[in-house]
Amino acid sequence: MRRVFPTFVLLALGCSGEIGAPTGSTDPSAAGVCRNPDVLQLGSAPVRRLTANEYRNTLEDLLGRPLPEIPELPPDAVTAGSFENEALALAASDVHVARWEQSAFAVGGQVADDPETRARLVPCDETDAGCAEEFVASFGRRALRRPLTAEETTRYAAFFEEQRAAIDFAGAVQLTVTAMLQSPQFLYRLEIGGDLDGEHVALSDHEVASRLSYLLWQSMPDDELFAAADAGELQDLGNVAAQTRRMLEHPRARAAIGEYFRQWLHLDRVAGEHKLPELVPEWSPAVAAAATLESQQFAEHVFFEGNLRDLFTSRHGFVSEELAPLYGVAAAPEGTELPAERAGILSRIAFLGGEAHEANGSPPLRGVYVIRRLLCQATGSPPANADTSPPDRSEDMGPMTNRMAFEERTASAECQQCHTRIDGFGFGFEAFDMAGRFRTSDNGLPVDASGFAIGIGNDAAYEGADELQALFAESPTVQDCAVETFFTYAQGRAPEAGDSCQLEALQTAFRAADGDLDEMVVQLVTRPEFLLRPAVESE
Amino acid sequence: MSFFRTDRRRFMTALGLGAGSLLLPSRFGAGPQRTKAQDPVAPKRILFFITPHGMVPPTWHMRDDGMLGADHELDLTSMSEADFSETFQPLHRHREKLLLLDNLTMATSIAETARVVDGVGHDANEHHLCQAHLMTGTWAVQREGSTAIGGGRSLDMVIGDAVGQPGRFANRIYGFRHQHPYSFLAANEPAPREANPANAFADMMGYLPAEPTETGPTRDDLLRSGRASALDFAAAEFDHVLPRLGAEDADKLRRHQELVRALELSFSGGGVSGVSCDPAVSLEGGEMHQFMQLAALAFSCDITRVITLTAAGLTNAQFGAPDTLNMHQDIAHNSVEGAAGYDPAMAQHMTNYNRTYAEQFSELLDVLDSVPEVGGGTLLDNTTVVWLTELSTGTHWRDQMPRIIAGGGGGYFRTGRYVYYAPTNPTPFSWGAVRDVGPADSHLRVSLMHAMGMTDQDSFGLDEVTIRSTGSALSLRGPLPRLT
Repeated sequence: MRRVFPTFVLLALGCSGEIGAPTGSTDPSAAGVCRNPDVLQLGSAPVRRLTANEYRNTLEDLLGRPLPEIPELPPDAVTAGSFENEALALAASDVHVARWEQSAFAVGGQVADDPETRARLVPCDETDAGCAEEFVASFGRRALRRPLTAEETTRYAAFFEEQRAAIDFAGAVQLTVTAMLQSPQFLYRLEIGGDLDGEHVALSDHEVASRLSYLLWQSMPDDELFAAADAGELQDLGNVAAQTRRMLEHPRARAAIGEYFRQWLHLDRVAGEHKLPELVPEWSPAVAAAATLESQQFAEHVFFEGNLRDLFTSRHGFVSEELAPLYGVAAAPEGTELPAERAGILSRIAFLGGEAHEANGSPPLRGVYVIRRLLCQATGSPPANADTSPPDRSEDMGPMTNRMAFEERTASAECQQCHTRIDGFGFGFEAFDMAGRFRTSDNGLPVDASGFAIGIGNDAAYEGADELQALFAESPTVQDCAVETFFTYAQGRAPEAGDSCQLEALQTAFRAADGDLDEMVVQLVTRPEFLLRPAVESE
Repeated sequence: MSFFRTDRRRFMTALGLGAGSLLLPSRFGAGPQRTKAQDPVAPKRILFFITPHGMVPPTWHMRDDGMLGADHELDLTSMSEADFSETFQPLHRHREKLLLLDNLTMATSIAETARVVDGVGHDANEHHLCQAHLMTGTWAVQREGSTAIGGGRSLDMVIGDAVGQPGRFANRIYGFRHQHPYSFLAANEPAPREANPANAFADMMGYLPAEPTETGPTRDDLLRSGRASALDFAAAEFDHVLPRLGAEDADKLRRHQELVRALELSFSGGGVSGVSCDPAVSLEGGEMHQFMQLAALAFSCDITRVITLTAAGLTNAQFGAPDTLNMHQDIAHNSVEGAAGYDPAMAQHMTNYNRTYAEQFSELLDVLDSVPEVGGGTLLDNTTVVWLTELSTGTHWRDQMPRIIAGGGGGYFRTGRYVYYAPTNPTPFSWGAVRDVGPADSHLRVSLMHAMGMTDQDSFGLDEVTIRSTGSALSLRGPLPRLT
């Protein structure tokens, strides 16, 4: 039987995510409304430090050889609504500075002392005249991701000669690399730009190349992209589109997109989740890690081979040995069709086991996840005096399903203000337990996975996770959120009022392209805004 | 072959790094001999030890229940182990160096709940608020679409700013994740925390004293001095970039540049002033024990003067509770009389949980007390060790906070006492009837700064909060009385 909550709908939409707040929310992360699409407007472009991931990828590509042992950098934080690359959160700390120093010196040592690396990266011999300048210019162009100015070449070459006099040629190579890899031009993506019309600054070709490569690869440009920048081809959006399509074919793009989905959809939350062994004997850290990987591969697959709708409806799965028993299929790491109940990413173990407790699935966690991550909307915390522990199913109340226990816990009018909507999504996953195992009964009673999806643009009653996800597949709110989320990732910050027109245009294009995700990337990088930053008053 | 050299090798081997590895620099040849004249006055250090979920009042209190309305204190030095509360019995052997504080209040956290009720911010979750306030004492950052998090530079950072030495670490954050971080570089910017003792040790390697060499500078020594030059060069590169950036970006990069300059000093200047530095550490035992040893090493070699150690969560087996119980939901939430699900068995588990942490804390004090200092006494005598919990109880009380100070703070604290503070302030906010609570823990933060020599400081974080029921202000200025 389907439940319909018509009288609750208005009440639920009044849940602004601010308990105790007098009136509706003012969400600065929500983009404003585009007033005039014909006027070019830009949001801010704060300087961006390389993330720990980008730093490591960049060093690997810079050397083109396996890296020496380098210390692990402190992890960059991710919270709902942001990514590891959130520019404002990426600052330097004493720990970073010390470990960058160690890494730079270790990498410098490899350039100087490993014959193969040296042959690749040092273009001249110790005895050649002008070798310092030649090395500085060739290595510097790749390390700083643009040709060095004459002045810079002179500065670095003078440092090189100083060290050569004090130590030897190899020492000078090592220490020059050490210095360069600690310079702000390496550690940050500085967009100094060129032409200034007072309001906008046009990025240089090399800055555009870095925007592209860090967006698509989380790493530095390759030789072909450098060549396009050198040739001044990247002010032309057609060339940018062609480069983008080429780069999306590269394995680095798959890895970067997998990372994007891991952060957006919190696919690794499950890794920290413990399940009671007496209830889920098959659970282990290896199962949880496999679940993260499976959802990440599935999302990558959808990104490159399908569209947003497939994210919620496809039964394609990459099933490892660890997951096979939980999915009830034979292992198929190269891909297979999963059983009917596993359509869509929200029917997979990474989500179901991640947004759950150790003894029961959590409709509130699952519902809040939908609201924050798929609808890009804020939710608040429960009131301070709310009991947020998983509800007991005490025997004296008779047998209860997990759903009944949660319904009883959140029955009060105050709870229902938000939980009507939250659990309207969360109850849809009741056919899956705390480990994401499929079930038709719970505690001896039939599972009720019906619900009513509110505030998604195509609100409707549904029965089960497949019907709920079918609604998400067609939801304009979900489509807009998918674009807003990728936009946030691309900008390294939440959308601002100045982004409204651009964001709206991208959202419109995304719908017109039937939710084609890799096409969304091409649309974003071929906007005129991609070649610009706003002018700021320098010091 | 020196013991030191052997140990370094063994450690590096354990890390998978060979001898002569790049993380194993020789310090010799980097200019003047690095060990400067030994200072007979040992530096003061401070270590914050943080455990989550609070305690069980009846089993940690040692207050005189007949005197709850009045300030009073107990002389710990004359008490037997049996006289100590069940939770604190493992601390008995350190009673001469203990100062147990009873009845402080997380006033700023409570005041923030009132603000949320009044519509400022949205997150009133007591875990989040107390984690945000514990080390900052100021309003949390209430992030849209997310949970509240620390809203200012935390006490360990600020003390590090004041007592940190050039070319040394101003502070170190070690240990484990509880939920949200406690230590912050600035509002919304968690300080990096190191959870792996091997990484923490690797960070210190360059600061340990050099192995003596018989001959002149080797090539490695020259490279080492070149690293200082590379840092100098990199720092100067910032000057070429800064004029072209907007003000906010420039501020960020300028802070970075200062850190590069500070690191350069560690290569080219400074020196070990520790009076008992013995780098022959062999890291053994569990991770918590390894962090304790690293703390002693870092303090004794004066690599840092401020450490925050967030304790690892305990497995149920560690405190004898069955695996089927959830520490947070089953045990903590039901461990205090008056809670809806109160269960004496859960209270006993919670007591055992804290007793296990008390054993760890006592072990930490043993480690620090085993290191003699040249000016007399031990490392513990010159260190202020502070055990903090973010909540008072598993049921989220924010008054009657347990606060444990150990070590002499270099003579600042009058130890060997249990100090009870009478409830004399109205609570800033209460869901029920307004009642009186003990002094704000903000005053303790001021006292800790004073103990570290920052005696010109009069407040930390908020300097007052409003008592919602009366609208009057509660001053948070000044140190906590009766400690010295």
